[in-house]
Amino acid sequence: MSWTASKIFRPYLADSLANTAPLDLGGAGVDTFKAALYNDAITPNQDVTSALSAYNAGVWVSASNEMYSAGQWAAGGVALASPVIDSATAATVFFDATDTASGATATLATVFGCLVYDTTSATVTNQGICFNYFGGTQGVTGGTFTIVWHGQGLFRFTL
Amino acid sequence: MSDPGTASGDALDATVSTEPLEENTYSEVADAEQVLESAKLKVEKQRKHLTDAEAHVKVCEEALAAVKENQS
Repeated sequence: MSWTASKIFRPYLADSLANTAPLDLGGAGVDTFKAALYNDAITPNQDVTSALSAYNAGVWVSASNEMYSAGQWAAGGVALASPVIDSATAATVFFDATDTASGATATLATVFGCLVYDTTSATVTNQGICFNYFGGTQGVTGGTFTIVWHGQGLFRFTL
Repeated sequence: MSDPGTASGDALDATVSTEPLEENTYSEVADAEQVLESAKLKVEKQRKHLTDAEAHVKVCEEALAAVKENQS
């Protein structure tokens, strides 16, 4: 079991296109999203159901697999600042946010990736949007842990 | 037969930095406040969608009545 890649959840895209759930990733009234950290004891799967893509469900259960640092990177994750759907480039739509940082004295170990989920989603509570791999094990001792989102966003579509 | 529209996309790997920040703004309370605020905004947004949808029903009812009247 392990992380190998970053993926968009299939039900997120399907639910958005079908308006099964109002998942607002940008614009006025944008939802709030959190990034929760996980170890390598899980194998994320983009094809799970909406319910199993959610935070604290399926492989995303907090107990034993979620990594956090009390008061510095909360269990349940840290909110994304300035989430936005960017469609300013021809034939491209992407979801982006400001890099996400812990407090200044976080201690985290064996962090392999994060679940990005919608805290405002009510159809499925805390429905998953995507999961992002960090390329290997990451950690910090008594310092700042910052997720540096890819320069092309958290996820990206080319049309 | 028309061609289907196509698109490709995926989530992108992120990296991690452990460099100290000039200004560290992390706050669990601020995060909780943000979650609450967006939950309230969601209610307002959905209420507007409901109002718009109800108004559209009325327009459709009037259109149907007009069609029936023209056929009679």
